[in-house]
Amino acid sequence: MSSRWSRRNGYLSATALSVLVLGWGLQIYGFGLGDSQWLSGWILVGMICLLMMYNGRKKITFLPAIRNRTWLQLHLYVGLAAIFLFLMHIQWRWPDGYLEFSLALLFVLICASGIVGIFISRLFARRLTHQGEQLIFERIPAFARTLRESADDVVKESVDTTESTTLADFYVRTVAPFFGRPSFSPGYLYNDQRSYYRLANELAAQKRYMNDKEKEFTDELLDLLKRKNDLDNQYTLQLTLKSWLFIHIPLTYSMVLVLLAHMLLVYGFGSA
Amino acid sequence: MADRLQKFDYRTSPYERPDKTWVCGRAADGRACQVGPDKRGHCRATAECVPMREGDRWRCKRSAFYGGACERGPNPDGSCCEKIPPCHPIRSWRARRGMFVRWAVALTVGCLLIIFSLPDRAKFLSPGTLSQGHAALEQCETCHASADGGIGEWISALVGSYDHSADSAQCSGCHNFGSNALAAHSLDPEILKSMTAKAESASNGPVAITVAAALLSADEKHGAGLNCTNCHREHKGAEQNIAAFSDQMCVVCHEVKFKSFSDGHPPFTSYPNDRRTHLFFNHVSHIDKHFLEDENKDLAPHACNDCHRTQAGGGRMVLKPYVETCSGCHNSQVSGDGRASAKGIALLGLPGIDVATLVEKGISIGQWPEYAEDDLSAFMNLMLHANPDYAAVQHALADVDMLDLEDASDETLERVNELAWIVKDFFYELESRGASVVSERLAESVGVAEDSSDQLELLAALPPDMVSAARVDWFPLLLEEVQRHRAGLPNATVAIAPAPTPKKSSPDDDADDEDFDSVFGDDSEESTAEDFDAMFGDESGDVEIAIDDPEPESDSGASTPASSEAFSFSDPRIAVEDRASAGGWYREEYQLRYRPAGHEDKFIQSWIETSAESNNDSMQKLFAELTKDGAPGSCMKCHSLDDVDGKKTVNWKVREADPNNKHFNTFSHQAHFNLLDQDGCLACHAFDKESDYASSFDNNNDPHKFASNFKSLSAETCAQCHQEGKAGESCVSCHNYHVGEFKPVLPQQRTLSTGSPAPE
Repeated sequence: MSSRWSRRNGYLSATALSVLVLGWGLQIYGFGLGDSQWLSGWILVGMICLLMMYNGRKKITFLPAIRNRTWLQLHLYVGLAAIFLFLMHIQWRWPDGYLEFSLALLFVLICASGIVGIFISRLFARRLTHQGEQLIFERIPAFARTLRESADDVVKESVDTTESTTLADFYVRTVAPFFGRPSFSPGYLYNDQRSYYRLANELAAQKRYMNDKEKEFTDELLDLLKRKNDLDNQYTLQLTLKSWLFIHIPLTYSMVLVLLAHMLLVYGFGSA
Repeated sequence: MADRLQKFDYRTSPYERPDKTWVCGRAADGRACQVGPDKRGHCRATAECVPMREGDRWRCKRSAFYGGACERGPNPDGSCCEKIPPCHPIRSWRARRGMFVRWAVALTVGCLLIIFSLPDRAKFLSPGTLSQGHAALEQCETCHASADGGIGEWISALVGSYDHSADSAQCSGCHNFGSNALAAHSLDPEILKSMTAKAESASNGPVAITVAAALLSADEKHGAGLNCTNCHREHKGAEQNIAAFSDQMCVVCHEVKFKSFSDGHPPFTSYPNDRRTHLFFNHVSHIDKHFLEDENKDLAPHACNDCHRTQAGGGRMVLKPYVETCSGCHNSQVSGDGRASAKGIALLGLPGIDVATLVEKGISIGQWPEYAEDDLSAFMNLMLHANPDYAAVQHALADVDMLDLEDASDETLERVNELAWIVKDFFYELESRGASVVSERLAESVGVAEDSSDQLELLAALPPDMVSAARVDWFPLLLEEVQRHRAGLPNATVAIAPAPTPKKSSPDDDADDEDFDSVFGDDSEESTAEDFDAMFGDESGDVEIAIDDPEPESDSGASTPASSEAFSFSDPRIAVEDRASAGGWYREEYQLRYRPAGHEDKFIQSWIETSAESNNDSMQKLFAELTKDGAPGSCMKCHSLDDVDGKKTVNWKVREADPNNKHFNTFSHQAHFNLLDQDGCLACHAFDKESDYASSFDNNNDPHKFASNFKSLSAETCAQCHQEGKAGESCVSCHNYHVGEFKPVLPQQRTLSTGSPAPE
């Protein structure tokens, strides 16, 4: 077992232990006629504040605080513990009040988006690493343009050199759209590249009608086609890695507001 | 192509700033300009470079990113020849996420504002469905005292403190748990402390319980700061049992901590025998002795359910009605049939006085029956106590034999004189004003409110005709005498003889005939006339008597014993008290008596109850009279008197479960019937034949000093079924939390006539 897995298991064990201790403590608090929901609620608020501090920590980069990586680990495992504490807080029963339902739903969506975020951060990062070149997301459109211009140049050179339009005709008719702007294709999320292979096979099949020179240009074009495929793959995965935060963070702010309303009502109506 | 797409050098790699809000509009096309938009999202690009003037020439300064200096070079006017067409900058991904956040916040705030400002916001703010019992409550303020206050008050509660007791008071509007509703077990804290002191020495339970107990202060363990919501949490859904209570919550506060009923529960001490039975019924002696006697064999029960049945609801076993159980053997004892002593209780009557001596000594008490020889009855004693002079007279005559006053001192004779007039005064009032005199005196002596139902039962419709008839016979000239006495005029003592009514006798007693004749013969009328002359002769001619009719009793409508009609309807050979065998009032000699009208006679019951509960000496004497051995009705032969902390209660009925009276223990007999084997009830209730059951009632009014006919149950017996995985062992299966008498709160309604709220 690698040290990373050992560390991860250690963190998971510590989280599980913390959850058990919290559950036990809440139970004991309830035995003494204390309001365990009140206690779990405040612990949950504390956890949410800690979780939100991670976003702040990322914005305040100059602080010599704990490393971002450590913060992320803390965020992940505190978040995991918060899920169980949340279940204890709602007493394993889905609330049916409008406000409480909304709050619980927001919490669940945030947790779900967070879990999805963890999952894709681990999975996609590995796939992006395996793919080879790691590109800056903002530069991908420029790279796509570069590849398109390169493909155009190959096709023009082919026509000029071989005086045959077989490759050019096929390029214009079939391949050129693929070299357009970087595109988001859901297939890449689950590593489905059939559209690329279909196109590449069709292009390769054209070689039977070509002379050797044309075949060389076709091979160049196939290489560019693969790079564009990789680029689209990069674009799709990186865009997805950015997009889940579009759910996770805005919903967090919404949840905090609903949480404040919840606390106002809890205290205002004497339930605490 | 083996080249890497991404290069990192200052000529080919632009510096990316992901925190920028705006990016070039052509970036998506891969042709972003280097200038980029300003902070407000306006395109700033004009040309690929800003040519620099060197002498009289302009030199291209295009960056290497665009390919370095261009071939054409700047225009003659110094502007760049490579214009950049303007774009529409777009937001960066980060900025777009920020927009999402702002929109989400705005949307959430908007929704919350709308919800909080809605007139029926309670529907949206409610944290969940109420339990079924509370489902009809729709207004927050019904339960939440702060609901009316609005958001301002809620915020102050959030930052300050909340008065939970106010909400609990709202609960009490419908749920009555007495004056100690918020105390532990709804008990008086002092009682709880005394119970705690009686508990076995403290012991530790499971670790969690020990820790939880350690977190509680001593006051908290005794219920300090409790509110309804500590245990009852609402808004958890319609199916939620808000009265659910975990065993651990019980054990934490209790001194003796244990894991479960089957593991560590303190042993039962005397369960279910927590006191003596209400009725003095010795199961062992009845079953082993009385039921075996020949005359009782046919009446004896064969099984427990011949005498016992379940109370409605199946909780408690109770006794079947008297007529189905005890009456077969004990009815004659109640009715008095065959009793040698009086079958009715003496109530209104005259004390016997040595009239001859008074005549001799010149004491003027007016007429007095010569043959009256009873003591003053306890009831008369009670009535006379309303007279302020009576107490002194009673004290002075306590040891005096009023039937023999020959050797009495003048002072004693004077006291006898006073007593005689007190008695006459009472009968005078009774004759003049009827039973209201008794009512007044009861109210004055005992505190029983006039016109109350108790009064009605105590008076038992005292028949005025009988009182009047008795008075005519006993004191024919009472009205005149008393008025003369009150006027300070003398009334010569006259002995009236013979007695006006048949003496107590059996139908075959010949002696009665003489008495009967003496009562209903002409002599009685003659003697009355003579008495009148003797009293109101010439000597008293100067006294003006406010009586026109010398025979006032004839106006009263009272039938005198001399009436021929009375003779025709009464067979003198039958004893008077036997004629009253169905119960009720009757006159015997110089006493008006009451004979119980069978079992559960309200009159006797009421007098026993009232006299038992009173601390008045006269009432205590009356109680002793009513409850002595052989007293009419023989009520206290079976019914016991409890005296707990000075509060006396006569147990007329066996113990029955009062749904409004909650005890610590609760048990349903009916739920356990299917568990019984051929031994039936005896499977749990085994006879204890060694027990001295009778001692529980022998000069003992403390119900908790007792010996039971039955052996106590053991916790192990119950634990055979009551354990995890079988019948369960929750504390609340057998115990109630709220203990006490809690009457349901009746709904407030508007008065039918006005529509306005009913007055408190």
